[in-house]
Amino acid sequence: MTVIFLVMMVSSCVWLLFQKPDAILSTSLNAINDSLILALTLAGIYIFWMAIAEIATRSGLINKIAKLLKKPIKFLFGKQTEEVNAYVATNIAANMIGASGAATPAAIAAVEHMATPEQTKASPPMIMLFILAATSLQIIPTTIIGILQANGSNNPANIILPTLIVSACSTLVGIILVKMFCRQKQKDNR
Amino acid sequence: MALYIVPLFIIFIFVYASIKGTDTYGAFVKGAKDAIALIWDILPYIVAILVAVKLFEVSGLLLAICRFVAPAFQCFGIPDELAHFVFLKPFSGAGSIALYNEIIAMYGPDSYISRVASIIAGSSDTVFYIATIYFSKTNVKKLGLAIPIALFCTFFSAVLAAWVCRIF
Repeated sequence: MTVIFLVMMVSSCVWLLFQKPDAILSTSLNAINDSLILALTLAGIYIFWMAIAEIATRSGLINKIAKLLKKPIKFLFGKQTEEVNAYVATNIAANMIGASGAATPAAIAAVEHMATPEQTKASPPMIMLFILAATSLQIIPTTIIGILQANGSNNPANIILPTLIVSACSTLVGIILVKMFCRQKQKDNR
Repeated sequence: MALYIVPLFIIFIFVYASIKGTDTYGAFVKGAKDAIALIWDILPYIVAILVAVKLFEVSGLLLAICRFVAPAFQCFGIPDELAHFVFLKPFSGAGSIALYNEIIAMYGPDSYISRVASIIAGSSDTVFYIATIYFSKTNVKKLGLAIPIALFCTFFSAVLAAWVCRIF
């Protein structure tokens, strides 16, 4: 991440220096403004979903879902603590129904509990969780259907099946690639 | 149908919790409290990635690289009109949704181009943003093959979308 950040920052700034040097500062400040607005929007979404998720956790519902997903979770993430399993299950369930506001906080917590404080390198289970999110597990793409509907599509629901096929294939490819190329190097590095 | 899944799920959680005798009010407030702490923790990460991506976009570098790789995209069957969209998707969530809206408005919601764009939009996510946020509560900085694999999957789903839309 450090390298990506550095490359993007330096190359963009150098590039801008030759075109419109005054844009560097104004663009950065604009972007920070945007992030504050985004954070505020996200805060609203997270507050709602984490409140709901806390109820689901305390009622034992999350543990039920975790038990239901035990086999696939074990296959994808290997042996993890109960706590991590619960967060991962929340993430997967929330991603599937398209509640990304509930999925992201659960994923952050899952990764946090998978890592040791001094760990600087991502472990295969972390990468797996990241890939699952990046390839989208959502069953019904509600945002897309909404936009299609707003633009007068004849049958916006037509997009569901092909999206599901493509999404499933790309997720599968992602899982296979992680399983093939991301091996646990140190055994204690859980 | 899709409209009812999330609301029904929320109602179900409340009903289930009250049957199990959970303190729903206390749990709700605790969850909200955790959320505020969380957003405070991840805010610097959001700022960092948004500044980098915005500079990358405004500088014209993103478009320049995109123009450079567009012919290669076409070799794999991704329509020329969508090269920019496919390229923007991993970087910017808000940017790619705006571009998606433009594409739909320009080509019509039921055109081939729009359907491919819809599938791409629905089958991948903002890779760089997720990479920043997911690891924000750890000291993990080296993501290894995570981003290359995620980008490959995004590209793969775009290629597949272009093919699937020819069949459907």
